[in-house]
Amino acid sequence: MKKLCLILALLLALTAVLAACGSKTATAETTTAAAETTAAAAATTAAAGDTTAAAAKKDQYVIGMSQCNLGEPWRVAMNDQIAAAAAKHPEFKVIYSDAAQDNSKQIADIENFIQMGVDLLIASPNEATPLTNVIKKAYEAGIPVILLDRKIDGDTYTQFIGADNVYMGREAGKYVAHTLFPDGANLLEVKGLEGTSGGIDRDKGIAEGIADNAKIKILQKCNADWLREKAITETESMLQANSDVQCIIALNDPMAEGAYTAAKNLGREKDIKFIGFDGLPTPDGGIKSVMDGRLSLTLVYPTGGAEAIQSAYDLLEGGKTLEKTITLGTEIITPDTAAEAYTRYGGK
Amino acid sequence: MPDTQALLQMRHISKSFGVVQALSDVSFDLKAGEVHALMGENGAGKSTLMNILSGGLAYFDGEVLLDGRPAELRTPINAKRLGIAKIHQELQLVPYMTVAQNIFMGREKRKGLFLDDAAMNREAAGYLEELEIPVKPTTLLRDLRVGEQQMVEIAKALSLRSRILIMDEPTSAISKAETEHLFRVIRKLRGQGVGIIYITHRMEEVFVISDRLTVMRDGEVVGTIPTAGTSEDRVISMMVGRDIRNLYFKSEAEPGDEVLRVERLSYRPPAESLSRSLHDVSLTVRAGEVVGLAGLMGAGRSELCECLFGIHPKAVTGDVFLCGKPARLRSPRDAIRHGVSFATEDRKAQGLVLQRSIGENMSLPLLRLFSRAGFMQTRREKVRWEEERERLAIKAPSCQTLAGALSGGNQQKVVLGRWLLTAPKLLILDEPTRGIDVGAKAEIYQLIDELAHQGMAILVVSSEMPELIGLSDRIVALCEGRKTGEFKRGEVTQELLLRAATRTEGATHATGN
Amino acid sequence: MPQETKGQLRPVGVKSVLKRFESILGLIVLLIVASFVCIKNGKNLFLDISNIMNVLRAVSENGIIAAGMTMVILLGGIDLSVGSILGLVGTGTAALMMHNHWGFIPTVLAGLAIGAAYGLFNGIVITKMKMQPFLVTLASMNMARGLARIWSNGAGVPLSYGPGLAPIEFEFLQERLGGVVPVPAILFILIAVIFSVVLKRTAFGRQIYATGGNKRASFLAGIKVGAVTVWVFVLSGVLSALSGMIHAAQVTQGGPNDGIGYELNAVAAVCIGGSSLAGGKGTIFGTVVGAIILGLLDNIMGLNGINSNIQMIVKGLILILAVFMQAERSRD
Repeated sequence: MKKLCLILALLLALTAVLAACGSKTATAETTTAAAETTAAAAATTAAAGDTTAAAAKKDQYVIGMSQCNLGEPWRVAMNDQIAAAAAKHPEFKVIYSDAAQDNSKQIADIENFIQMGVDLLIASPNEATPLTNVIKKAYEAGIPVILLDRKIDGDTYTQFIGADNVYMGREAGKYVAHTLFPDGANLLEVKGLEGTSGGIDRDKGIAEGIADNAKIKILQKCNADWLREKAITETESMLQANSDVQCIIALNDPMAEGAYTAAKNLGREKDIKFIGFDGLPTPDGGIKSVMDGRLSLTLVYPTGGAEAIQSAYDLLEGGKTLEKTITLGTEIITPDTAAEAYTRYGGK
Repeated sequence: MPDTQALLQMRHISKSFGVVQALSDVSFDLKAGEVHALMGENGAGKSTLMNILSGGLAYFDGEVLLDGRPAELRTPINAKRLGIAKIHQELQLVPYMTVAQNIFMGREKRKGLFLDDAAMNREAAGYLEELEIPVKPTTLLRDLRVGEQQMVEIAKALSLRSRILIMDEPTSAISKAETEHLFRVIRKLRGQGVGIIYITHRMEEVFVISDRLTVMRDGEVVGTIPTAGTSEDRVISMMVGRDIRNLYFKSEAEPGDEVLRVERLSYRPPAESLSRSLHDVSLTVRAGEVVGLAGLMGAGRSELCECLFGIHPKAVTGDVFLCGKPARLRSPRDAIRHGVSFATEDRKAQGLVLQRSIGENMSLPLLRLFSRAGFMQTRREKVRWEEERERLAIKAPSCQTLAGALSGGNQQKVVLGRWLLTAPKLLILDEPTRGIDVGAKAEIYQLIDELAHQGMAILVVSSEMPELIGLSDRIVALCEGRKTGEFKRGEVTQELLLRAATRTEGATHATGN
Repeated sequence: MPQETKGQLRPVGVKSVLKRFESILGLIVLLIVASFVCIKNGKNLFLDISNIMNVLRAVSENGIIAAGMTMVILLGGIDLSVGSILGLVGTGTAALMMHNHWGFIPTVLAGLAIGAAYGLFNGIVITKMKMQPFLVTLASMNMARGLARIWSNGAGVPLSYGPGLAPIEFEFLQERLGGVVPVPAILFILIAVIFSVVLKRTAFGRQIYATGGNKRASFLAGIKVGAVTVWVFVLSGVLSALSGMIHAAQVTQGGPNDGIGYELNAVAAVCIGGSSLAGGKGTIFGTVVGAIILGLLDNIMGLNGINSNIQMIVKGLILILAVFMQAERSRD
C-alpha cells in the first residue's frame, strides 16, 4: 500500500511539473482557434509550406528548432543567436530539441514538432539522407522548413541558410598554398562527421584551393566527428605516422584546438601551423585561438540563427515568399585582424 | 499468579509476521540459578520468543516482567542494560579485533581522549580466567577456534553483568571436550544465580544440563516440566504431537542384483580447491539395499558422491560399474541418464532454484520427458507433481508456491520429489535430514525404506550415527579419503563406527569382507 | 524470506496482486498523465492515432533489442554489444544491397547470420573461457563497431530503392500498414509474443529461468548450462541484427555510427520492466511495458517542449524510481 501511494504521489508531481511547463503554450489560444483552422486548410490546398498568403495574423507563433548536437560549441552559439533574435519578436516562442548526434532521436523530435503543429520548423539535420523523409513529411504537412548549415537530399524544404562551405574551404586552401607555404608543405587534414554536407563541401574547397601549388601535399586525413576530444586522439595517431608535417587543417575550430593539443603532447606544436573554421567570437572560440597564437587562420562561419528568425518573420507575418537559398558571407581571420574582429563581433 | 522467585516472566506473548502467526499466547518463566531448556522443531517459535526477549522485536503483544516488574524490551540496547545477553548461533564478534576489544565493544574504556587498552586487557583477562579460558586477551578473534570464540561471547555477557543468558545451539560447532568445558561454565554461572535459557535439538544435552524444559510447537507452549522426571520419548512426543515409538522403519528385504560397483576409485581435486581427495575406494550397492557412508567431516563422503554423479569427470580414476556394465559418467546429465540421482547436502545453494515454483523445481531434470516438440506439457506435469506432493506430504498451498517460501523440511522433500520423479536405479542422499524436524525426519526414513523395498539401491551419507545405523543394511566408513571399514547391520555399534572413522590407516571389519 | 513458522496462513490479499503488476500500473498512470498533460489549443496531442503510432514506431527498435536482452539478463548476464551489432548489420546489409546488389532474402539472411555469429562468439567465449559477460560483450562491442566502420569506410551507406539499387521489399520495413500501423511495431509485438511464449511454455524457457536462478543447482539437475547460455546470446545477436535492418530502413541509411548507447536503453527497458540484474527474475511482458514507458516519457516531454537536458535528468530519476519500486523488500 505504501509503495502504491508513493508511485501515485510521484507521478502526480510529474504531472504538475509537466502541466506547468506546458501551460504557457496552452493559454490564450481559443480566440485564434478558428483562424488557425482556416489557415491550415488554405495551407494544404496551397500544397506546400512556401506560400502563406492565406495565413491570418496570430498572437503567437510556435517555432520548433531541432538541433542535431548541442555537444558542439558552434551549435550552442547557433541556438543562442536564434534565442537572441527571437527575443526581439515577443510573438515568437521557440522550442528547442537536441538529438545528441542520434538520427533516430532527431526523427522522433521532428515528429513531435509535427504533432504539436508548430508554425515553422528550423532544423539542422544530423545527416542528410536519414532525416530527408521526416523533413519532407513536415514540409508536405504545411509546415515551412528552414534548414541551417546542413542540407537534406532533394529540395523538400522552404529555405536553406548557410555559408558557402566550398568557398570557405577554397579560401583556406589558397591561404595555405600562397601565403603560409608558397614553397610547399606537408598537410594533415582533420575532417568532421562523414555524412554532413558542410564537411564534404569544405573538404572539396580545400582541395581546389591548394590545387595550383603542386608542392602542397595532403599526407593523411582522419575523421573526428567535429569534436575536440576525438580530434586529439585521431591527430596523435596521424602525427605518429607522419614525421614531416608543417601544417594541420581541421574543418572546425574545436578540432583544430584538439589537433594543437595533440601536437603539444608530442612536443611538435612549434613546428606546425594550425588552421580551423567557424570563428566564433566566444572565449573558447576560433578568433581567440588566433589571437592567442595557437591557430594561424580561421574563417568566420556565421550560424545563420538571426537570419533564420528574420526569414521566419518575413514568412509568417510579412507573408513574403522566401528565397530557396541564403548564402552567408564569411570573413578570414588572421593574426593581424583577429583582435579587432573579436571586439567587432561582440566578443568579451 | 506472580511467582516471587521468578527472575523472568513472559506472559501471554503473541506475535505475527504478516499472514503468519509466529507466537500465540505464550507464557514462559525462568528462575534465578536455573538452566531452562527450550525445545521444539524448526519453526516452533523458539527463535521468535528469544528475539523478543533480547530486544530484537519492537512490537508484540503481551508483557515481560523482570523480578516482578514490567520491563521495556523494545530495543537490543535496553535488553542489554536490563542484563539480558544472547549467545547467537552465528557468533556476533568481530574477527579482526582482539578478545578484549570485542568484550568491550561499544563501551571502550578511555584515558582522556585515547583508548585505555591496558585496563581493558586486564579486566578481560579477569573474565577469561574466571571462565577458565586459556586465551590471552590480546589474541585476535579469528585466531581462535569456534569453541573458544563462543567462550569469549560468554565472557562478554559476564562483563555486562548479565543475569539472563540465552544460548542458541551452543554445541553445534564445538568438540566434545569443549562441550564439557561449556557445561562446567554453565554450572558455575548457575551457581552464581544467573538464569540460563538453553535452546537445543540435542536430547542428551538436555538431560545432562537442564533443570527444567519447555517444549514449543506451532507457536504455542506444549508444556513445561522438570527434566528429572521425564524421558526422551516423552519429550519427543511433546515436540511432535504424536507418539513415536520407533523412529526408524526397517523391514527385512532380500537385496537383488548389483546396481553399483566401485573399484579402486581415486579422486584428485585441483590444487586450489577445498575438496578432499579419495584413495582407492571400493564398494558395492545392490538393488533394494541401503548402504550408509559414515565418517567425520572432511572424510570425503560428499566427494565420493560427487564422483559417482559425474561432477568431476576429469580428476577421477578407477572403475565404476552400473548394473554390471562399465560406466564413464562425464557429467550430472550423463549420470541422470544412466539412472543415478543425487540429492546434495546443501539444498538451497545446490539443490533448488528458490525463485521458481515447487513444481518447476521438481521437473528440472525431466524437461525432455515432460515436453513435446519443445513445449512443456503442463497438464501432465501437474499430475505428477500432485502425486509426489501427496506421497511426500509436502506442506504448501500448491505446487505453484515458490520453493524459497517453504521451511527446510519441505524444501528437502521437494528435492527428494524431484529425484524420485526420475525413477533412478541408484539414489544418492547426502545428509537428507539435516536441519529437519523430528516429524519430517520420520517421514523420510519411512520413504527410504519403502524405496528400498521397491528395489531402489540407495547410498546415504549422514553425520548422525544413530540415524545411519538405523537406516542402513551396510555401512562403509571413510577416513581421510580412504575406506577404513565396512559393517553389516546388526553388528555395528557407534563405537565401532567412530573408531573406523578416526582410524588413519588400516581397516576395521566386524565381519570378513 | 522463508517463513519458518507454521502458523495459520491468513488469506492473501490485494497487495500481492498489485505487486505483480507494478510495472504495468506505472504504465497506466503514465498514460493517464499523458492524456491530460499534452493538450494544446484544445487538441489532445497525445491521444492521437498518428502520435501513438509514432511512439510505437520509435519504441520498436529498442523493444526488439530489449526482448533479447531480457533473456540475457534472466541468465544473470548482460550484452553490451547489441548497439554495435545494430550498426554493423545496418551498415552491412545496406552495403550488400547498394554496392553488391544483393536481393532481399539473401540480404536479410546474411544480416541475421551476422547477428547470430556475433552472439555465438559472445556465448562461446563466455562459457568456454569462463569470462564475465560484461567484459566479453564490451570487447565484441568495440570489434563490431570497428568492423562496421571498415565495411563502409567510415561513411554511411544511403539507401535508395529500385532496379540496380536496393530491393523494394526492404523498403517494407519502413512502411505503415494501411498507412497507419508501422511495420516495426508489428514486428516488435510479434517478437514479444513469440519470446513470451518461449519463456513461459517451453523447455528452453524453463532452462533459462532455472540457470539464471541457480546455475549450480541447474547443472546438478542435468541442465546443459553452457548450451543454454550460448543459445541466449545467439538470440540476442539475431534480434539486434533484426533491429539493425529495421533501423537502416527507417533512416534510409546504413550508418556505422548508429546504435551507440542503445545497449543502455535496452537494459533500462528490461530493468524498468521488473527484471533483476542478478538473474532469475523477469518477463518479456515487463520489458515491453518498460520500453513503452521509456518511449512515453520521451513523447510526453517532447510534446511539452521540455528542455532536453531536463529530459535526461527526468529519465534517470524514473529509472531509479522504477527499479526501487520493483526490488524485493524484506519485511519487518
